[in-house]
Amino acid sequence: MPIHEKSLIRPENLVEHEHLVIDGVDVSGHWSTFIEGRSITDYNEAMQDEIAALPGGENIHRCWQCGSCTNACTVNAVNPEFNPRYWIYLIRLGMEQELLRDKDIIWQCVSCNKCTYACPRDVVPEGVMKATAHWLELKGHTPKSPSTHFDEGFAGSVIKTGKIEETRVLLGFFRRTGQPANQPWLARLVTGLVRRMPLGYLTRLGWGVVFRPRTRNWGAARRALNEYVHEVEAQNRAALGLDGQGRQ
Amino acid sequence: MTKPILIVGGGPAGLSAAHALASAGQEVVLVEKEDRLGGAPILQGYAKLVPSHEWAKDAIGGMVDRVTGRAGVTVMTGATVHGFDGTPGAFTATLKDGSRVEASAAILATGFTHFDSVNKPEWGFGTYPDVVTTVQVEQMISSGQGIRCPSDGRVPDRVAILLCVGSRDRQIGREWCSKICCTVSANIAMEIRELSPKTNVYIYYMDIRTFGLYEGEYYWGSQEEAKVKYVKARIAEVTGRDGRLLVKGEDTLVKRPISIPFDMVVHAIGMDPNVDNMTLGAIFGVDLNKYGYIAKPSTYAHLAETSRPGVFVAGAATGPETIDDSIAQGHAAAMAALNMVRAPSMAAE
Amino acid sequence: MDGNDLKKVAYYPGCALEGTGHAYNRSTKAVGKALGLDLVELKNWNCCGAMEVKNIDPKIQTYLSARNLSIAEDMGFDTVMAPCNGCYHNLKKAEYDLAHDAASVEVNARLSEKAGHQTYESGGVETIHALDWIKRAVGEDELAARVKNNLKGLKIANYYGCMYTRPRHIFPEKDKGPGSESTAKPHFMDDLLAAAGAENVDFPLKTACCGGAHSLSDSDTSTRLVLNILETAEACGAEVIATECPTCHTGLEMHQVRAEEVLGRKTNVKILYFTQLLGMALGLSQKKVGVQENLSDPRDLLRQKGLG
Ligand SMILES: Cc1cc2nc3c(=O)[nH]c(=O)nc-3n(C[C@H](O)[C@H](O)[C@H](O)COP(=O)(O)OP(=O)(O)OC[C@H]3O[C@@H](n4cnc5c(N)ncnc54)[C@H](O)[C@@H]3O)c2cc1C
Ligand code: SF4
Ligand code: SF4
Ligand code: SF4
Repeated sequence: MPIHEKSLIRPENLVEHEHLVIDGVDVSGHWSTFIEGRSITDYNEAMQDEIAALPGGENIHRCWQCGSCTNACTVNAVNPEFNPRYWIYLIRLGMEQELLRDKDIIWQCVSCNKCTYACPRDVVPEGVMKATAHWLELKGHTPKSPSTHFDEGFAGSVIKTGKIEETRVLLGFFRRTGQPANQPWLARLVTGLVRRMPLGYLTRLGWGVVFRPRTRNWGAARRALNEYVHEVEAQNRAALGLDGQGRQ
Repeated sequence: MTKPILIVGGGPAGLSAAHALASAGQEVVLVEKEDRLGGAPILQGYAKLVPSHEWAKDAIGGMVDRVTGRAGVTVMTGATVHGFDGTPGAFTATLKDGSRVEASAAILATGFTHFDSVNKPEWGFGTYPDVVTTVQVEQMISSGQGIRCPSDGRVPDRVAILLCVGSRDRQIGREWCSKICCTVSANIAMEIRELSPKTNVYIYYMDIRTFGLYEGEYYWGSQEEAKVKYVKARIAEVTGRDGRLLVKGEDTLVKRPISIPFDMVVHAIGMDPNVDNMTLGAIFGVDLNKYGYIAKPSTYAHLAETSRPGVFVAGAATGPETIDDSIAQGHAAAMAALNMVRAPSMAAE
Repeated sequence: MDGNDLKKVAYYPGCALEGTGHAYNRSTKAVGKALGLDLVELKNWNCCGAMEVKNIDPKIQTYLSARNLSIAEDMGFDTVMAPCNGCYHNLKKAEYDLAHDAASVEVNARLSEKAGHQTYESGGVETIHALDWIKRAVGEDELAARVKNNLKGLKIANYYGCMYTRPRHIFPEKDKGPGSESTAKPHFMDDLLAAAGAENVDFPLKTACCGGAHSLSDSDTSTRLVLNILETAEACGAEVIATECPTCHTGLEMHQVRAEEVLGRKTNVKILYFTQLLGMALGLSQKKVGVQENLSDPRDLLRQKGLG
């Protein structure tokens, strides 16, 4: 097979038999190379609707593939594989397998809204990225991303007390994602702080871990918010055809 | 004897209406805000027109000549209408200088306003002198000056034309296609290649709308004969580097970011509603559509009518239109107005 | 609204200003005092939802922000000032959603009623940023007249980040031509610091993203983004990056350290809140504006320039 053609083919589509004899001829190794079908054979027609049903995905159907989101994108500049325009195309047509190839980086959107600012159709690609990451998790294609852990920890704290306390959210985040909280750069950060912070401030940060800052009389709001979160989660699951436990 | 018909705006649409009415023996008063007739093609100095390849000054100049000085046509330049009262058959228009014009009907042919590229700062207009608009390129060609970078007068090696500048963009509230700029850009690209064969021209597009018969001559022609290159990318930003312009975007077909140096960048600017439309709407008592152009309540049965009986409309005042369509609409408006003022019920009054 | 009405406004510090953004809180209050402006903190406020809650559901964020607006209204204010970009952005977004989206209105009303407080309706309170506040309540001329310690010779890159300008539809008052703020090239901080005598450098990354949303969950990306901002500022000749948001500020400080530790790329540019700089220009001490809390340790540089 000519080299330049080989470069167009994804490695997983190349099949080679280590030992193969056909009609008495030994075609083991690269003599038996064949390429699996490369054509896309079906569309998942539910995919666009499902993602549009999740918060942020509402306007995905407006996209006309101009590429303004991708060329404005902060993350695309550091990782060219991060391509909102392309993913929106795949979702709109329901090319699920293609999308899944990039499933592990979609959550990395930093919500800078540069895409939203540039998009001539007001698709709000930032929202679509969030909805897509959410979809991937709900469908079980990806585990909860570090970002979802952070969001949930954070939102949990707000719903519980009305406020957040940074140290606590931080420690909780490291716990949930299984990261050690004593990474060297963090250590330098903390010692740098401790060296120069006014004592009163440090004490307060410390106290914050024990006695959380909280909004007074928050109980009724907490109950209302928890109720609402359950309602939304149930709606999201239903839109994706999942049952109460999140199963297909 | 019916009173004259008032035409506001002396561009292709207004000129066409004036000519049609005068030919039918109907008196007209043509009120034009600028100091000369001809509308955008003359006032902005367009070069060769789509689709006839005639120079604007000849083609539209000819339309101007055919009405100026003609019996039954009164031309008032440097004039605008400040008040408009009465009923069909008996309107009175008050002009800026206080004079009055009696009219049996009115035709609004007030056209459009060019999009101001300053409203898309990311594309470099106003910051870099070598970022220009299609209007400026038309002027470079029509003045005989040729294609030159405004910064230092050099002939550009490479020109990028960005389509849809000020059209098809919710971010700036412009949800329309300006219809003619794809074809005009292809035309300009071909002219640049003819005037300066060493200059390479690239057109950055989202869609190409060289509709109808423009397809073969302009879209295909620009590629097959003039070797103009088309790239499917909406540009993110235009910046400067080492005296050249850097055009950044995503080439969507190869799925890769691009950052390409150019000597000149041309904005294919769109056709905004006339900035006067709010005022015109209030003075003439006509509704605007949701985009800000003058509304036409009926698409099929009552051509050229506005929301106010006796007031008609034609051309780019109603939305982005080509010159030939504007001319056709000018004729249609003339016919509609004439039908009304000559109807037996009104002629009897 | 004229400047006079802004002499006394409701103040929404938000969670970050009680934590890592402590120095911003302190310097904002100190500057207000020095300029004769009154800040009245919202009573019993709650978190606006920051950047995270909307990812659970955007309407929760709308409710959380709207509750704060209803407190401002209750206290008789028609303007609330939020110095944190995240808070400012969220209150603005709530205002926009409650004016344009029926479903947000419905959820906000339902949650407010269950929580037992007055439902905020759009149009009641205007949210402004600390930059708007000083710019409109005092203005460059009066500010310049009050400067005791000119920032002369201090080269500053002004960094506004994401949430102050994007998405543009939640900031209808911006992009209104001369005098108004621009979402493409914001300049209010430049204007104020210039009035205090600073030399603003031409900084192309004013509204670049520092990766704040994933500062911890995707630190490698954040570090690369921040490093780019820091190195570009230095290449533009800046000695200081002025910030107007605790998330940006902490992100820059934190990843400056991380870039050095993890990537071995050291940068020396100092990171200061614009209120710290203004405070010192108005004659306040380094301590008063909390410079000792800045991780990039600008004390030597400031002393060299005779500040604080
Ligand atoms: C760069 C560019 C190139 C183009 N090239 C072509 C081409 O090659 N071929 C083609 O078919 N089309 C072309 N067009 C489109 C063409 O310009 C329009 O189709 C045409 O000008 C519309 O004619 P009009 O008479 O309706 O309006 P206009 O040409 O806009 O004329 C309106 C007239 O009304 C006057 N007026 C406005 N307001 C008032 C007022 N309040 N009171 C009194 N007078 C008023 C104006 O001064 C003007 O004279 C081009 C457009 C652009 C932007
Ligand atoms: S919000 Fe996300 S997708 Fe949009 S530009 Fe920023 S990082 Fe890219
Ligand atoms: S900018 Fe908007 S319309 Fe263009 S590709 Fe991205 S989402 Fe689609
Ligand atoms: S005619 Fe072409 S360039 Fe003009 S707005 Fe339409 S698509 Fe864009």
